[in-house]
Amino acid sequence: MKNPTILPANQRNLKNRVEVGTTIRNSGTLAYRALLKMSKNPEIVVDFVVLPVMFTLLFTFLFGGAIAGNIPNYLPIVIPGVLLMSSFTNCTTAGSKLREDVDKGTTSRFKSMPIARIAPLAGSLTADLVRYVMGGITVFTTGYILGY
Amino acid sequence: MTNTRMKDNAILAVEAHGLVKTFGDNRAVDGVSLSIPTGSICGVLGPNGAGKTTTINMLATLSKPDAGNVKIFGYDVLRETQIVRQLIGLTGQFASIDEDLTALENLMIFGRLYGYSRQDSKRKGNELLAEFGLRDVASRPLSKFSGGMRRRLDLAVSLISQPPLIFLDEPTTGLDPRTRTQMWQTIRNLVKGGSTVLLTTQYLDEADQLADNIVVIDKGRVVANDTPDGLKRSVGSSALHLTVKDADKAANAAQIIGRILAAKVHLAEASELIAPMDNTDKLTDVLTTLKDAGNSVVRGKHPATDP
Repeated sequence: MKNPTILPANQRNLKNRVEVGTTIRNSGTLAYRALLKMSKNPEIVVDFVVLPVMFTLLFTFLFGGAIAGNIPNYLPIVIPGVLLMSSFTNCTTAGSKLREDVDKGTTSRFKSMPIARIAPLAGSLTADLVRYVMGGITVFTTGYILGY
Repeated sequence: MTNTRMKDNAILAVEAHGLVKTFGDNRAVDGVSLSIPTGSICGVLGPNGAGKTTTINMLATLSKPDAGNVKIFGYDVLRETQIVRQLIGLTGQFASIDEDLTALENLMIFGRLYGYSRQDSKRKGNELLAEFGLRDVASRPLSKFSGGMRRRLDLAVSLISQPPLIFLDEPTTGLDPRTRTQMWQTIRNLVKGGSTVLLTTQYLDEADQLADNIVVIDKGRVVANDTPDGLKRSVGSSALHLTVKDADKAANAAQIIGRILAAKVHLAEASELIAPMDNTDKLTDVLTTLKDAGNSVVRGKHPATDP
């Protein structure tokens, strides 16, 4: 591709709107980007897998008996609580990731590209959904093992 | 709406009239007009805070001008935004690529966003990496990249879609001289391939090296718009730099120099005088007259043709 010949502007087939298919594809690509970034930073996994498990165990065995009398009675209270807590942690991570993109100029670049305006947000939210689900599964699994 | 309008070949790549952008009371861009013919390099030169980046942002559909209008290849930036976005590539001042990902992954994601298939994105990514001399580091995470490598990758990302118009916001700021020369060569190659380039810079020599046309912006206004040679001519083929010993007599010396050279003398620092001088023969006159007036010159400089 040495000295690629650029197709002049007047010979291009151009559309002034983004189609639904493109929007979905763009969002998918950006979700893939977010997940790929996540996989390169395994320490994030600690936030949404290890931490909820730790909290569940901690609350159940430390306070479970004192608050609800015994562990099986306490689990229905603590599991939804930990679920909520891990969702909040995830929200914070998602927000800071978006902010990082704005600061670094990545968002400006996306804005200057012919992609759907919603795609950067939708992509990041889709990736978050994956995180929520993973976090949720971990919490429920822990609960199940404990007898929930 | 499908647009296959055939337009005149001689159409301007960028045509902006009376662009204004205000932030609060600050008129960051105050009536900038630009016209860049297709296939040329336009250098926007100006100090920090002159409004270069704000201007680029308006041209590249990132922010809406408060007044004025912009046409990119004849397409209105405000009404045909999405079309304009298919025709431009923007490389900002900050490397907007992902630190965590590898060079190839970065390129592939942008390729996918531009609508290429996975295979095509990979092929294009590899081609660009080879072209920019980054093939060996293709699978290394960006956090291990040097500043120059990041800049090159950032530029490569804007080239995936082979846009006919490329905006480069200070492409060489912070690069060492060797990398800077490489970047210049890359930019020249782009234009050979048929692209139009608008670049901003703080360095006159960069604009001089690259640009076919230089637009000088200061405080949001265009203060000069000419070819590099034209700009140099307007400054004078050479300049006289003199430092007088006695700072108190600098004003008096300035008067004398002004009279002899029939030019405006600029009093730079305490006692340094700068004046455009077309005819170097007058130098002796200046020096003898100054001596007669009791001004002793401690230092003189005569930079050749570079203003």
